[in-house]
Amino acid sequence: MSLIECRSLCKDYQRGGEAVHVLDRLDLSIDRGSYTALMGPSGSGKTTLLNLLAGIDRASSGELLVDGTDLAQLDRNQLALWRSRHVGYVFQLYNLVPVLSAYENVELPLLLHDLTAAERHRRVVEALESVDLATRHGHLPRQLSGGQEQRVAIARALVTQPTLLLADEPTGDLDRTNADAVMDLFGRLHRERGQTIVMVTHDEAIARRAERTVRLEKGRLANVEVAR
Amino acid sequence: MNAIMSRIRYALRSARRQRLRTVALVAGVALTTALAAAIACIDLGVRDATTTRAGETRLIVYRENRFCPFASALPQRYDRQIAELPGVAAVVPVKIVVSNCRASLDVVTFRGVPVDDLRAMAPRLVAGSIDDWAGHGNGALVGRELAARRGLRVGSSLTAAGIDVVIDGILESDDPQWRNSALTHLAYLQERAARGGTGGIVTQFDVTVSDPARLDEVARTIDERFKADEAPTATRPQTAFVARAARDVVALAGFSSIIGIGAVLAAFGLLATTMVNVTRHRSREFAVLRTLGFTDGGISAIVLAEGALVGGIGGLLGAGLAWTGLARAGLAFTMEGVSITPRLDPAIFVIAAVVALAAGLLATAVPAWTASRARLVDLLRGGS
Repeated sequence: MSLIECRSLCKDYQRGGEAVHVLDRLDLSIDRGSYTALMGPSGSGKTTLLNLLAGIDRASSGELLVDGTDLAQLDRNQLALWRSRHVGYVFQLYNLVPVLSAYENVELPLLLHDLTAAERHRRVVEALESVDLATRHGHLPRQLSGGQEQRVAIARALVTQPTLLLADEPTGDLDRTNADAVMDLFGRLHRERGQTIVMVTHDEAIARRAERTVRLEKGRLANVEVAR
Repeated sequence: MNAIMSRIRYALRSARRQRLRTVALVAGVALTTALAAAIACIDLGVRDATTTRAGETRLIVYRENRFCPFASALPQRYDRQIAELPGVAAVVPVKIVVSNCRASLDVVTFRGVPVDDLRAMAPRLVAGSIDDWAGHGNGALVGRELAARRGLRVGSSLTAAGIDVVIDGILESDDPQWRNSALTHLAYLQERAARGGTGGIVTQFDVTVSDPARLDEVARTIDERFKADEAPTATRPQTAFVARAARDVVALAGFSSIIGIGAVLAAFGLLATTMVNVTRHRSREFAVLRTLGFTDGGISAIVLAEGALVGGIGGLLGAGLAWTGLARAGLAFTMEGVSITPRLDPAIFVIAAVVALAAGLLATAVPAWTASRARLVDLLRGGS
């Protein structure tokens, strides 16, 4: 059953008075509980598509339904609230808030949910345990390694139990060992929790960890490969 | 409620983690608030002392064309003649000796008055006894502010302008002239000031009129009475007399108000600039918060909460600092023997704290709006 439906999705920019078609009538569907890698050369529209799926950018035309919600119908604030409940987003450069501890960073999205302090604490502890950082609660981002920072960022994305986990080159800034650790974590989340994951990557080896690879070229779907 | 608290909690955490920046901003707001509150208190004190009010009954009779207590010399015998004039309720001859005629923050003003006149005025003593003072030729009752400034207590001695006195009491008064003077026996001060020369000379007469409506009329009558005498007089309502005698202090207070307003505007400008820069520097952080689901209003609330935090805490600290400083310092601007003291009106400190809070909010209003309106996707790409 598809969680995401893109129909004739277009995204255009104006650059120097010229229209640039970043996504060009893209049709794509992604199933609930699937693990998808988005690949393609620079400028093919991968990150733009991810941003549209996350509701942090808007399509120029076409239709985008996520879990039955037409994102084009939501205003800025409705979109923000929708994101807080349905999307976990992992950035390439982690983007932790530097003045907050690992615990506080993970707690951050929960401040938008109507939870008791005890429930919030339970969820944060559980999320940090799930990324093997149970002993790093009080550490500031600058006191963590790159791999640990990314795992905190993943815990932050998961703590709200989102419908959809989106990751923009989550291993792009990590060495091979840490990249493997992050990918193992994604694999475990997918297998054990049935988490729907859409991940942008340039790395073929990383993409092979997903069960399906969607390749984009010039804003269009080039092909879809299903892992054996 | 939970949503508002979450924004405030985030702002508090952010402020706590950026300790140096927060402390610097709070200290800046606190010092500016303290400065503005102190200047407002001084301005209020100047107005109190120099603005003629309905119901004023006190006249000061001075030597014509003299503005310094050293130069004003009137025969003491004038007191009986003034007392006989219509509309006069009471006359007190006063000899004034000051340690410094120019504008200063620490002048000792001796005011010599007859014992019976002082008893009749029933001064409020907070320490000591008027009977002890009456029994000591060199005794003095000192005003509370002068005592605080000089660390004087009952039994201690005070020497200034060549006058030695022993403190027999500390007095409280609504009149800043009394709060900042040492009241001595008239005869003792006349004798000491004249260095063994003639007594019978006073600096001024404090005249109380029976009807406030006749203040100007009585003043004219007094001056007319002595116009052709050996010492012509110039009689003014007490507030007008203070305004004229302490004109430099009044001018300085006016100038300091302009400086104060300038300082407040400069501090506000610095606060606003700092908050704009801080917010710009944190554009990526706000982009992340918005990606996590914080709404435009939520981001604005965080920025405004930080401004309110800085303005509110700075304002409270500054108001407290000004209150404590002015209350402890016992500040008195004295010139030509008249004193002007700041009035510590609680309303000024409340207003100063509220204005600081409002300034904090106002300084962050534009950054808050900018932070909430920027395109999220541009911010995540690294723009501002």
